[in-house]
Amino acid sequence: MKLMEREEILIIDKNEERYLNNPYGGLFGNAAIVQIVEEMISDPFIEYRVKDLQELLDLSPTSITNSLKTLVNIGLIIKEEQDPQRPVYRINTQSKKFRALTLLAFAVNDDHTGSHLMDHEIERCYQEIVKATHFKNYALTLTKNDFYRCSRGVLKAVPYTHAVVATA
Amino acid sequence: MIAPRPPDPTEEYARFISWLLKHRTMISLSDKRLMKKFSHLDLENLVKTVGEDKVTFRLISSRGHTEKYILLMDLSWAQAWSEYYEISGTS
Repeated sequence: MKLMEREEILIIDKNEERYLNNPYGGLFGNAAIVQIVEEMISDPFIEYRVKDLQELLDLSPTSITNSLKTLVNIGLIIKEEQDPQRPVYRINTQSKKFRALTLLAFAVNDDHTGSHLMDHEIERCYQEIVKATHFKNYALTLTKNDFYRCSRGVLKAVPYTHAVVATA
Repeated sequence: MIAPRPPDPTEEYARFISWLLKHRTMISLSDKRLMKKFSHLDLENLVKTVGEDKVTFRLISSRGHTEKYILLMDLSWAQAWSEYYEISGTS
């Protein structure tokens, strides 16, 4: 890919490099299991084989297999063994740990850039999931434009409709 | 669901944007994960289509080594389209 002449070079220091090159900005170091978690959380509808993760993350098959075993045991991922020789793994999107780790990925960005992704996600989860669960006998239709007020007092429009139709 | 504010990155690119949003919003173009997962995407075209205020390229230098990165610039826009296409998995 050609580099454009007008582009300036941004020089980053060690701290910024650590942030960029480690899962969750270096919060948990760079162990195999953390790399795998970040990768799978980031693309949760993909099925992964050991070989896929090996190619993506440059980890040994043994460390990947051990990490996956741990993640299955704690319920974050699901192992499917239609082909016992080559099992596939996918994120258990019903796990609250999955939701929490998604929030963490947003929190890492927020702390770094001053964005408010986590707050927005919490608001959305509350409207779409928590409310729907607790008031499941009601059909809740929120307004066309939900507004998200960030902590600095700036009003940002989030133009989508929450339409949660509950089941009795 | 009403579409978020434009530009629409399209579902194909929204998956990449959602992934980048959970990878500290920027990644080197030479990163293996990017090349393996999204080699089919034309990232130059994405930047052209949605505008550099949304996604852009930057040269980033660390310890004398310079690489070209792709960066998300408008994170709330990226999050909104990720939700719209239900890619993040939390819906």
